[in-house]
Amino acid sequence: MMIRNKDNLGIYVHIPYCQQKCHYCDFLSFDGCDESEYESYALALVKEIGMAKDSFSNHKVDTIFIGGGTPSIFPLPLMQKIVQALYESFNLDKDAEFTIESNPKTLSYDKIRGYKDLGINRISLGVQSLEEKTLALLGRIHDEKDVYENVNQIRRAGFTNLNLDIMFAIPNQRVSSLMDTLEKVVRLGPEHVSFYSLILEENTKMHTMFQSGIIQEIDEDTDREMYWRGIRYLEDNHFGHYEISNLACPHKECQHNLKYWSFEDYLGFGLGAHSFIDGKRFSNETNLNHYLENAENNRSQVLWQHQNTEEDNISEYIFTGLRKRAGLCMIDFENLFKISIDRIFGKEINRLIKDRLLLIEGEKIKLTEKGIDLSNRVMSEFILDK
Amino acid sequence: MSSTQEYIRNFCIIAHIDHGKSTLADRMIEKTGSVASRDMREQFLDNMDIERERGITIKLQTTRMKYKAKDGQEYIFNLIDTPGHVDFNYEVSRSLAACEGAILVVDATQGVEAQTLANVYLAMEENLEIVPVINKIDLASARIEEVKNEIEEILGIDTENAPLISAKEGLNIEDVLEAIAKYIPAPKGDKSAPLKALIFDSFYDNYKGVTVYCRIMDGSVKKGDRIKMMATKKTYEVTETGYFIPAPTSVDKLDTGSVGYLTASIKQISDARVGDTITLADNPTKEPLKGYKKVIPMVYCGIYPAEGEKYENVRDALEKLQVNDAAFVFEAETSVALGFGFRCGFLGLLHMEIIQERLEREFDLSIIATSPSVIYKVTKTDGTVELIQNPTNLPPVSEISFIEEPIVKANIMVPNMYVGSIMELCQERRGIMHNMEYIDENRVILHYDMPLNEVIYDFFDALKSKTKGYGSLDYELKGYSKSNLVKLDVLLNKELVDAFSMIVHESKAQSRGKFVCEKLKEVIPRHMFAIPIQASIGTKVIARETVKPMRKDVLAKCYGGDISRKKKLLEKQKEGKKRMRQFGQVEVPQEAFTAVLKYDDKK
Repeated sequence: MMIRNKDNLGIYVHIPYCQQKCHYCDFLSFDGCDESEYESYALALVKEIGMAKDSFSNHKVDTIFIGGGTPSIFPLPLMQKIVQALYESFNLDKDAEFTIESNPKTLSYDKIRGYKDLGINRISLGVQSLEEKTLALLGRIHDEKDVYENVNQIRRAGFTNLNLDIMFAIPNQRVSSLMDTLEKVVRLGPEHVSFYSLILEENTKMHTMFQSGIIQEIDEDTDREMYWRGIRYLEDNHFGHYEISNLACPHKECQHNLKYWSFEDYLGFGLGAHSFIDGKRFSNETNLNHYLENAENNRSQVLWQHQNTEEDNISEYIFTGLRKRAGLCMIDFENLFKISIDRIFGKEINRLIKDRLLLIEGEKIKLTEKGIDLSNRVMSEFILDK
Repeated sequence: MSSTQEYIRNFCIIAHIDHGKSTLADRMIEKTGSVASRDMREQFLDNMDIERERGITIKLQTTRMKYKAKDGQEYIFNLIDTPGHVDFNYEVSRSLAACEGAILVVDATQGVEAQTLANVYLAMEENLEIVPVINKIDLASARIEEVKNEIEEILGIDTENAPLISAKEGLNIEDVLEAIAKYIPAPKGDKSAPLKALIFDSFYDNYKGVTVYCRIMDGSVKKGDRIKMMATKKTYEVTETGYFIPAPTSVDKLDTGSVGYLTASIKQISDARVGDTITLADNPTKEPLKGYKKVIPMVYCGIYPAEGEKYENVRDALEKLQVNDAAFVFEAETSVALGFGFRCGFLGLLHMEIIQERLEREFDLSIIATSPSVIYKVTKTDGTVELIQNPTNLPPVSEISFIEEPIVKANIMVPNMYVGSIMELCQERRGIMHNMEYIDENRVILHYDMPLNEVIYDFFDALKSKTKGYGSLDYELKGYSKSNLVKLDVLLNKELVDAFSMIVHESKAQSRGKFVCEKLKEVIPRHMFAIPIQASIGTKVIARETVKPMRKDVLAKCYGGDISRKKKLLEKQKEGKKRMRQFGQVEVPQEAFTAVLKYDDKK
């Protein structure tokens, strides 16, 4: 199968550490670790990156995303080593988007300035809310003022591409308090906003609070009101809604995230990192000790892999593509798979259009607003049997 | 095998579930050396998985044993095992008719139970010599003397010489064998008379056709004889005769008084019906044996292939089951909601459950079973009478003059402390109490007349639940009685789903309708639109619930390019959808059909 932008590659680097685990978090991250542990991990990462060197010499890397966890928890010299390893092993496009994820209170002006010097050109800041009560409930380590301070520092260091993560449907949150947060966000003037609802995951502190009745889940009607009012407000303030949970000023869409939704290649490094290369999905070791041992013994970190079948490719192409507000292009689909989408899913598409979940605009097929609310339902229609 | 009629002993074992019938049978087989103990499976006689799991015997197994008694004589013992459940009363009565005696096994910790009573009465009707045996005497909670008194008082059976045993530990098994030789009479019967043999069981296999289990009452039968089934009038040539030891072992002929099998290229189990008399085609006996009747199903339900299951597979499986089960009937039917399927008739609820389970386990089929129904007699305004076993076929109200429903005589045995709550339960199920008998200071038998349609829903589950498992029930059909019955329909999203329709008493319609609506609300997933669930009688809605529409089903976060996690979720969602039945716009999970039948403790 033909993959578009065959020579381009996105890189993801996972830093699984935080100062303190948030109450809602079930991601692969650890808190309460010291700098020596950070260092062993960084060295293992450098080794993993080095081992990939020869396999991708023909690729041009056009996005890098250092995510977590909280990558900004690492001392600058460690981050320098990791970034250095990336530069040594890959050909970086001169216009590449290079993002680091960070959390307020783990940043300083010097650190941010250091990122700039390393060639990082986009910072994603985990704000979540600008309301003290809500921040406390989420178990965030920062307050509203920390956010303002860090945003100022980021701007002062010369960053012109900033994302703020904002969460809604947080227990006890009111629509009005969300709108307050969004007003403040707009005043802060980021180029990009990630806007997503809290999901109560099992084995989190928040889930325990929920089970013991201390907090209640936001009902679906309020959840949807928050979502759509938030989206409309941000749209009114010149953000474009380009993906279910992402908005951006013109030309500031996150190129790395778009790779996930556009069926493009990406390579992940670090604990539990996922990759998609030439139609093959694979992911890394998720046990930290095993990860470190593998690195020590120069073993591969790949724990799981799956060569996509054509059916997998078709299903994934559609359900990832539908996350984009622009939808997916039926002509691109046909060029890629040598069969029209109608031939495979005509019946499903017609039903979904009739149910007002999908709509067709020119060559594009996309979710309606109702389709966004029920997107899992829509997307599951495009899963092909094995 | 050269034993004369005088030394043959034909007997069965009567016991309540779990009282140790199968274990005792195993020990006897072991003791007489019929099977080397290393070849024994646990409980040799119960050879169906479902029976093993439930600890009850449904299908008969027969075993011939040789026993050298203390009097120096060698005896032939024919153990004829009997099914242990009320649904199979007729089969029990026919295997009893093949015996001269019965061993009554009573659990020393439990005492006499309703099921035991019913079978002992059957044995008494057949004039069998009853040998009581007290089992499980090794247990600390054994109360031997009390149980002996119970047997004497309730059943009027002398227990003075009753063997006290532990089948599990193999204790005093010899006493049982001696008692059989000593107390059970030898079979009567005239060797020189024309052949007269009783069919008490049969099974089918692909190679030999039907194997008939029979007891020779008069005369003898051998290979090459032309035989005739007196009820079905069919004739066959015998291809083999033999004994079960317990594996089938062929012999030259079966003589008067003996128990064995014959094969005769019989194609269907329904051609060799239990209770029928076998005689010689050319030299027939004058009168057939008494007591033959064609078994009639009492409970019906629809069985349909579940989504993705083939109609033909279900049909083939039903045919295979029927070959071995003359009491099970089925015919094709169509449901608007479920498509093509079958109307199936059973002896009772357990029989129904067994067939359903066998379809799922042995044949690996995925099926939907509709609410069980009894047979109603509907007298129409034009004077004609229709028998209705599918609620969908009930004529319009305007054409009905009156409806009659089957009534059973139910005997319910419960510990004292539960009498109040069971009487309440029976009353709630429209039962009419006749009397109450005290078995001892702790236990009571309640005699009720109850509509069968109340018994088949969830009565047994309710009884068990309300008595912590100690209550037991047996019932037999008493007759039909006029009743104020209505058809309760269920509408999903304003559309009638015929598979949910049921016939209920008018006084129960409201609560039943409410229950069904509530249950369906629990199991039907939310859709994009609100789904009204209504229960109605005719056009009148008597209960209503609504499944609220789904407003949100979206996963916002896709973490670090982990597409596989998201895909798994979508696959699961799609898989769940496959197990749904589509009724108009509404998707209903398969479990909805059983959910509306289940007894609910909280109610």
